Amino acid sequence: MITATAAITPLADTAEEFGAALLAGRHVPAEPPDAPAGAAPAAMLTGFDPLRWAADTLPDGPATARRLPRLLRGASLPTATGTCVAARVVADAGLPRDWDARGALVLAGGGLGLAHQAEEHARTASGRGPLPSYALTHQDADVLGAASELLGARAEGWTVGGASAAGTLALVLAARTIEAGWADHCVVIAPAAELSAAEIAAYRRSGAMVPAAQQSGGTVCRPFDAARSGFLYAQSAAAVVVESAAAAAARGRPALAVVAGHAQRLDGVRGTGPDAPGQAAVMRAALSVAGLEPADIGYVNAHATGSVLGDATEARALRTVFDGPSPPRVNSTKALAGHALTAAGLLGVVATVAQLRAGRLHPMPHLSEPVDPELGLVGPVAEPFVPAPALATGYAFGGMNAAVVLTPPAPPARSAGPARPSTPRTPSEEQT
Amino acid sequence: MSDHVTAHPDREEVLAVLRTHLLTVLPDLDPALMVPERSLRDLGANSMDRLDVVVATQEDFGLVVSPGELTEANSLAELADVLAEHRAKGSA
Repeated sequence: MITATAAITPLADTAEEFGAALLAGRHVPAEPPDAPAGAAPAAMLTGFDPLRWAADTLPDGPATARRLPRLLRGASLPTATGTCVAARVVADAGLPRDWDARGALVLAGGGLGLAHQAEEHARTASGRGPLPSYALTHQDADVLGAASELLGARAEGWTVGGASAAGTLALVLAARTIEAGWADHCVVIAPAAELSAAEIAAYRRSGAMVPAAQQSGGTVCRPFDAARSGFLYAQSAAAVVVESAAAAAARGRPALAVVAGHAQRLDGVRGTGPDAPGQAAVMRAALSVAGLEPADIGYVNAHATGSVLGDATEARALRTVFDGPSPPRVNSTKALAGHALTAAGLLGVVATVAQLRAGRLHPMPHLSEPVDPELGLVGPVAEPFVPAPALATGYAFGGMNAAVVLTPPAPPARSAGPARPSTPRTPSEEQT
Repeated sequence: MSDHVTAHPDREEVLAVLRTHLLTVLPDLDPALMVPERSLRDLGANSMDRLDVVVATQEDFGLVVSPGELTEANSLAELADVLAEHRAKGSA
């Protein structure tokens, strides 16, 4: 089960503020006021200050802030943001800082610090640099190292790559790690991915990313809308704590949601194109793991990025799977938060948990002409939602598809005694 | 160790650059602690920090010194002397 969530986005510094911003229909600012004309629209975490963030948002903020200057020396944005969100979820879940042997870290990565790499490439080309520490700081593993040092984690730590599906895939691995009994709790960390000018230009040239702003109202991302023109890059980090029911109960922690199903499928095709059969297959597989039918799903947190081909393909896949008389409601968090790339899937999970708990679904303010009127899309106004099982998806270049089923927590049992310690058990009986 | 038999004439100049880079790497370090007798390790620099300080200092002076030649230098003063000696040789 999920016992804590965290987010650092251009919209908000905590998961609570992020959820509130989504339900209020606020979207990330696309261009900083000083952006040069013709610059690619993007919502950046420029000026993110880990020390101030820690002091403002962590329960033990001042103590953690004192450790950060040395811990994060020379660190890339992914290492700084990943370490910070990890500290926050561990505090919120009530886990001790000195991690026991039953805790694991799972990182959503795969080419996180590309802007950091580009800076060192430029320094090296100019004849100064790189610093020796770049041998470490260019690696995704640096995030795991920094987070493990701050948390005192000495058990397992994994880096899961998978482009824009990485955040969802990391949660899939965490849930399975707990179900199989390899850990009692996992901190799933999706750091902010920082692109360099080359990746931004390539995304724009490929047609996946919104073109430079033409209108005065600022660029917006329009998932599932006829007028969509690509994704809006937004730097954001997210984290969740996933743990066994027994581990959560032992600390008296309530579940925010339960990870009831998880799946991954490949398209078996190299390229950037989406594949409706692969997406349908992964959604059905996640439902099957959860023991649910499509009709049981009340809400889908779609991957939809606002890309012209991707959203149309995803709409077809959703219609294929949810072909019953009352299809689920569907929105895409990217309509408000933009596309956080490797972190997007986990940010969607944080958004899904917030919506399940609030009993409301966030709007898509710029949806005026749905790509498919039968799709059950949430429009420009937030909707009430009677908590029901939800599906959250993440798809990626390379033909990677991932999906998780999140269910509202069961009402607390009336006479629940203290939980037993977590040793031996049957993995298949565990719900994560 | 501080009574290095032959302090290089450029020791103070190199020390100043070493101190600047050490403060970049360890911004929370009290500058008053950076006396010539102390080593980078004493002052809290880990192996990665020490390499960055030494390499950045070499870059400032246009030097390339093999890491092996620097392992014997423990204190800031000794480190500065080795680097100053290399610089003198290079410009000779």
